[in-house]
Amino acid sequence: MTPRPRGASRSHRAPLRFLLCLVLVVATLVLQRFQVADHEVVGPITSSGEHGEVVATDEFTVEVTDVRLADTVTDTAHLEPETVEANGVWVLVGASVTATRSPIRATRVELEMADGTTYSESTWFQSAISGSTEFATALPTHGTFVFEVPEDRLDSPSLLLTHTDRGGARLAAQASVDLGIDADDLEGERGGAELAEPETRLGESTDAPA
Amino acid sequence: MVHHVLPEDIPSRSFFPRDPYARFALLSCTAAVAAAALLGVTVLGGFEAADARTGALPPGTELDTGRYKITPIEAAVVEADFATEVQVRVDIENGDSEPIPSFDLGTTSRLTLEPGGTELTSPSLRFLRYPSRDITALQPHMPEEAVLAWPLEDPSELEGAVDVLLTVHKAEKITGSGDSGPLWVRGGTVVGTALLPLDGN
Repeated sequence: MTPRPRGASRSHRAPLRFLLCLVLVVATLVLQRFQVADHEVVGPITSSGEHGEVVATDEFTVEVTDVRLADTVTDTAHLEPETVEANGVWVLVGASVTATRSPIRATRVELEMADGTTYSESTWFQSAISGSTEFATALPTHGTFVFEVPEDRLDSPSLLLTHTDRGGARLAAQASVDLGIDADDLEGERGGAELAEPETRLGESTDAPA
Repeated sequence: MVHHVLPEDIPSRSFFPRDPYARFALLSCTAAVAAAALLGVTVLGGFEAADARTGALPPGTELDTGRYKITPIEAAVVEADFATEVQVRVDIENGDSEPIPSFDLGTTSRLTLEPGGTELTSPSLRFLRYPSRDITALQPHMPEEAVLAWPLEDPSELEGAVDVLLTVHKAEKITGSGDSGPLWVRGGTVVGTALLPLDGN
């Protein structure tokens, strides 16, 4: 048997090595996409649900009962109620929020669109639920979250409610509620909406039979 | 007797040719391509210097920070309820996917009184459609006609001021330290400056 000349076998393997290098480089780039940033590792812990469902996190529950789109909003609790027009459309989300463990004093309230764009709650209305609304333990608070959104950006929005009492959203309890509305809901007459102050139902427990 | 392998017997692993003429030809070609590219860039006007737009721009010029777009229109001194303010009427739009806290606008859009160069800080934001309501965050993709109002701690600072200079910086997103999320900060690049005559002073 004649041994294969060494040089020939080496030159034969060169393209194979090049290909292997290329595959490894591509694999490295692909795998890097799966890397999770540190801030995402300790990001909020999200429980998801839909309009009409009770979405339970470790620290609170939220149930979206009513979603409305409006051109104008009037805050009835204001001494001189003023009708405020939207630069786009008002999204009013009626919901019941109940703290289940300890009182909640600070939340982050957002509306997240399908593409990830987020809108924070409007701070113009005294009667709307805002990030500083307090939720007592086991007493459901019913109120309205108000967002102002450009009409062309309203795309399958979800309400994001994050408990931020301990300074920030690090490993915070978060509820994500799909509101079940779409751009089609913008069509037709929207009219105005009136806002009333949030109501805390005393003496009623969420666990009590109806 | 040991037979040494001649250099030409070892197959070359390098793409660089062994033949000195071929090497010379390759280097010449590379140099020619580089020279042609450089000539092309020069003929087309060359690279723009980073701060080419630092010469003051007229009112009405749109400046893009990379996070929001701002078009300064006019400036005036106004006696507001609680303080004397320098108000700059702007058109503004958040181009990012998250709300921008109003506080952040003052870090990338800085106002100085001219002549003198006194810098004013911490502006508040109001929309022309409801001027009595303060805005805490500028929501994404909603063009607004707005007023940025810089309160004056000491109205005597205004003495002799004829113009205001609005310097708009590029906004940069940096990775936060530890497990904190990305942060927006003021970048070193100046997107542009606008010189606005100060009315009412």
